[in-house]
Amino acid sequence: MDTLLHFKNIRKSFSGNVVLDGVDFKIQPGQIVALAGENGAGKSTLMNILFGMNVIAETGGYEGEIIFEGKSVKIQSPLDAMELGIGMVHQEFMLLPGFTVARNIKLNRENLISNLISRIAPKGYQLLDNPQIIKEAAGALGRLGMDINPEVTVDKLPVGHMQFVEIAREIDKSNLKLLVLDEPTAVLTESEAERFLQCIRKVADSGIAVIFISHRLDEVIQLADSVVILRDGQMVFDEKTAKTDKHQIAELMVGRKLEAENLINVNRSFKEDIILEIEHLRVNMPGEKSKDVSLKVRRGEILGIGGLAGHGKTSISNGIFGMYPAKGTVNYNGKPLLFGKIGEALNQGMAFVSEDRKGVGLLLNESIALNMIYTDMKVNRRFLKKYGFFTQFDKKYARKVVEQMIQELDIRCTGPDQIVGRLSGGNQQKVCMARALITKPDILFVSEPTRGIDIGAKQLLLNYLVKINKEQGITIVVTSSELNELRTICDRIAIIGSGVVQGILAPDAPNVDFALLMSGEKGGNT
Amino acid sequence: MMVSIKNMVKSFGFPRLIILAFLGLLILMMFVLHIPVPLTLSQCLVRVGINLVLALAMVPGIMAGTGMNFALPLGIECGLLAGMISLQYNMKGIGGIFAAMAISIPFSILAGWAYSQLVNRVKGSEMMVSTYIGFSMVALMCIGWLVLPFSNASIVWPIGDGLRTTITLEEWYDRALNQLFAFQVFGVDIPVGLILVISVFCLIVWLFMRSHLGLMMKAAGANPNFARSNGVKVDSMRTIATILSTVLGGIGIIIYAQGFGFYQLYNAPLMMAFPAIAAVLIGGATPSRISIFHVILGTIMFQSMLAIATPVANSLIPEGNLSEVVRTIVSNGIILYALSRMQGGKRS
Amino acid sequence: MSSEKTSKTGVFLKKLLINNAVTLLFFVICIAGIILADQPMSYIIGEISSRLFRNLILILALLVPVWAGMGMNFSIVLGAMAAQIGIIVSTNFSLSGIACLTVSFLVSIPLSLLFGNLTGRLFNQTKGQEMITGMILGFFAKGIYDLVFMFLCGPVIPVRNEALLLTNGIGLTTPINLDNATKSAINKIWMVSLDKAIYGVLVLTLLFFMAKMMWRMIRRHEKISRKEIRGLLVSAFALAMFYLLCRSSETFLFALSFTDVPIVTGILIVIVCIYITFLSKTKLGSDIHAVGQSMPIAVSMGIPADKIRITAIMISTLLAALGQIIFIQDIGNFTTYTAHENVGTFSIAALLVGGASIKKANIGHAILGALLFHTMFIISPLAGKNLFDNAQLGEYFRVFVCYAVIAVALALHAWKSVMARRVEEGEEG
Repeated sequence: MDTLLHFKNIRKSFSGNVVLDGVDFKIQPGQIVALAGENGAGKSTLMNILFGMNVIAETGGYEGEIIFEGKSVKIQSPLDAMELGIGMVHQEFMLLPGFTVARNIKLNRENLISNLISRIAPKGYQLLDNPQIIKEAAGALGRLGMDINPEVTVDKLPVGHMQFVEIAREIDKSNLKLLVLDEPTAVLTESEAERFLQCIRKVADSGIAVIFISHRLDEVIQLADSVVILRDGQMVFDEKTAKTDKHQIAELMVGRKLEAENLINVNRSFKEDIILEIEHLRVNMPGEKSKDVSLKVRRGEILGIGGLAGHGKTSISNGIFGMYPAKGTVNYNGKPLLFGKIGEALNQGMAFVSEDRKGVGLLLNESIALNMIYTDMKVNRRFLKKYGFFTQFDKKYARKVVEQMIQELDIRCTGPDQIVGRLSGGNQQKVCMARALITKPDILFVSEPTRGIDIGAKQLLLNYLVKINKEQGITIVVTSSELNELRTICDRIAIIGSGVVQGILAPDAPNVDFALLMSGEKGGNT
Repeated sequence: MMVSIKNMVKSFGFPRLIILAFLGLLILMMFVLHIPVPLTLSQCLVRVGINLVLALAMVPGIMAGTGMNFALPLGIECGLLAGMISLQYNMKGIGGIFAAMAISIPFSILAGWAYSQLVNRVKGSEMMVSTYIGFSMVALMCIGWLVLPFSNASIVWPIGDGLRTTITLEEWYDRALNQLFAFQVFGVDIPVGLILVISVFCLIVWLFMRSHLGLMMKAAGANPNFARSNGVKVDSMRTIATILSTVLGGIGIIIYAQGFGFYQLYNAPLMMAFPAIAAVLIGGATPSRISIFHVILGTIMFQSMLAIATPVANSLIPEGNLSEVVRTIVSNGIILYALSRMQGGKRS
Repeated sequence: MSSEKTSKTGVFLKKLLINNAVTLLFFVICIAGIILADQPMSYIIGEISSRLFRNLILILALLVPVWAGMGMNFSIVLGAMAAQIGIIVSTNFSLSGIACLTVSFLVSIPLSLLFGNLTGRLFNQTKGQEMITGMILGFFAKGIYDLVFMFLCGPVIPVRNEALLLTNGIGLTTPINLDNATKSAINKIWMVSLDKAIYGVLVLTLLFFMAKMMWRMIRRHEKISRKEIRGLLVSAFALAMFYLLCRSSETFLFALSFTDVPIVTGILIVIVCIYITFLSKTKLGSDIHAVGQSMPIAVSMGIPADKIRITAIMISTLLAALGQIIFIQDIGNFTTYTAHENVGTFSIAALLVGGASIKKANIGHAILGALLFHTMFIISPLAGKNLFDNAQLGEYFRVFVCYAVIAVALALHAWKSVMARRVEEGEEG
């Protein structure tokens, strides 16, 4: 069989940061290749290269070669990709709710009839050939083995069917040769997912190659002909599915051996003094829902919360701090916490560093000083001069405290008055951390402390967390996508999958245990 | 060198540069056409003074993230109502002005609160909704002026129903603030009383911006999510800001009327939000960021431009109202520019 | 189970009531007003019909941008200006009659397309805030318009027809009167009394449905859809009812036969309606709807959203220019500097009264809205006079209603979309 697509030694870096290196694999017509890897392993960058997305060209292009049907191609835009016969089904639906299924399938590829007016006026005045549109759409759905009425509008369609409509749209393109599916089963129920996989099989049997991106290892094993695993931008695996199993894939995805001396907090012992008890917490955070989380946090420990993106790990702290609607009970120091009320957790002496630094964590157009003292000013009414019932910002005092924090956290800036938006990501993160610490919390929630910051700042921040934990006795709950980072500093690590706690592991537990918990395999203890 | 000039232009803002150049041209024309300078300058001072508080009413809204308060006529109607009450009971002189201000405040608080309940329910479309809320209030009050039981013979029509369209203030407090402690320098009238009062209002708003409440409000406007994560109730901040803006609008129109010498009822307040908005935008404010400096600078630039344009235009083309046309073009032009820079609500 | 069902019907009724609250309220206001105004039916019917023919195209001009998701197009004011410029130009060359109006329209075509294009570009810079931008743009354009015609015409721009200029030679006079041959030139081509016109329309509709059915059966051998049969029955029923009504009520028949309607203007309106319906069935119309539903999705499917949005505004501005010419020829004169001012507000209020929203508007909304809104417009000063002995009150009332309708419609829409978002978030959990 001729090779359809060959990624030849692809390498890509974003401003010196290598995100893809030496990726090299082939796809044959009619073959299903699963592309697996953790968040940030480089999967989406690879797809962006394949579709000629603007981000790639804007950041200096890529190295290596893409060979499609034996010819070296330079894909400059999604349109180029489409013309070559590469189609993609996105994670979020690209469907117009008010249009019928048929019109969505044929969107911008409608069958047209010319008429008197369109012959003299611009082309746009050609009439839609509705019967033909419906016929062809029904044909495409039929080829998927789906029985969906093409004349129904999409907003009346069950969510599970939308994915099929999207695929029908792709296979309706006569020149489709390669179909990319980005986590297609994430929104489907189990039986829908089953049906979906059969449907993909059908597509592949008709000679169309499929790249299948998924975290569900069961599906990967069941569906894919071969598996490609990316880890930190490196291709670590490219084999036939038959030659591997779930455990090996999981192990390879997480990868990286950790040296024992890197694990700082192994085997610290704690009394059973529970500072925070979470029971059946359910948080409705779009894209990161948790369904039923129960966790106990012991006083003085560093607890890690890990898991794959979209499984609900970040929703826990957001729910406790009232950012999203939540249900369940949370007991803090033995007393129930009214987490639905905005600011209640802060008033009780808790502090929070959000994962969304720019969107939630900072006032980008304000000074470092104001950013740092803000929470403390709101919660404890510090940094204010009081004149009867009137108050004024105490700039002098604020300056003193802020300068001290700048020194302690080694924030590189021109002074407390510098605008936060001009700082680098690492320094911004330090400002967020300082804001939480100035309130002198008993327990600190930190989400994604090292996302998007450079290595030096990363290390400093992690060390600082360990330091305040030891010296000031602050209990810390760290949420992170980077498992190794959690293992370095935490006493225990809870893995969240599908919105529930899959298990709690010690930092020195074997790689494969972590990987299996993440992919939804129950196990592990402690 | 070129780059630094470019940067300077960029940071100063292109439209501001045009307006500044236009202002320069007008001043030049003023000398060329032998227009009496002291008189024009006196005009400038008064116009800036009487418009400043109305422009100041934009501050709370922009701070709290409800954007430019196109519903300023709401506050203005409250001020006018209070003004009418002060005239009805013959409150005269400086005391009359302050009495009118005091009377306006409860009306403004009530109207502002009611309006804020709406504003909090239409996030994202505040500007459009508030424009038409302002318009409808003006139209509703037109009916009000006809039917409200005012009886002072000097303010109602001698024949027929309702209040007069324009009420001269000579009997009550015409220019009372302007003339308080006023003196002349080189023929320029310095309205000390007016300057004092508006300075007090600027100071109050400035102090408010630096108070606990003000800083919370600022965060709610700059980044609602940040505010929420810090336990600030964003909707209450928006409510307070809307009320404050309405109160300032009410006080602003009373200061405006005493300096102008008339109360103008019925349709007069319809378009009054636009010059105030244009002024703060010219001063460098954006729909999401504002300071007292922007308000003062903008009002000075915009109002002195209009004050100088009037005599210049009249001596160039005696007929027609050229300065009115200039006002329309400049004020709406600058608002359009600001809108086009918002880019879907975001603003760097 | 049954309680759930009743609550569902309850919700449905509530929804129906809320969604049509403005229309229903207006219906009540209009009926109360008609009773209070206590005017002869012939007067009311005559006024409503003449206003309907005068304003309808201006309201129809708003539809296309609504499809494109740009909300109510406040910038149709620019189209009205283009029309006025056209009339000024042809008056300048002392044209008269149909020629004058034709030249006016020909002049206004490139102008309105240009204005529409520029407006569209501006709207693409202010996505999500099109309405406020359109409104401010209207004010801004008025400034430019005033500058050109108040100060530049005469000294800078030569004006041939001296009757247009003010006595000092600077600026145009106001109002500008059309001469007798031009005034109502289109209307005067063919006037028919309203009862005959209604008969004509109903008979034509009936014939149209019959012809369509015949053609389908004989030429294409297709089955006849239920929709067509319904259309046929409804039009036949309407014809019969109208006949009975005319027969039974002398005053009604008298009122109708007393009212003359301009057939050619009516035909123009029908052509615009046909064009809009046709457009919605074309590729361009489909693209406009797609952009209106979701710009990001439309773009990702390769539809040039920005270009489509500009096209939508251009169509709207062009139709507005045509509408304003019809409007002015009907009145016979226009105040040079203010005739365009209220075009946007009044048309939009009328469309909203008809039950349209920022997201959805069709020809039916436009016609119903025009009827209700202009009924209110005619009767409210009269009702005010009878009720409070003060016509002024009624006039202020109608201005208030006009603004309030827009404010309420905008607020309802914004509130609904905020609530919808909240419900969506809640349901997902």
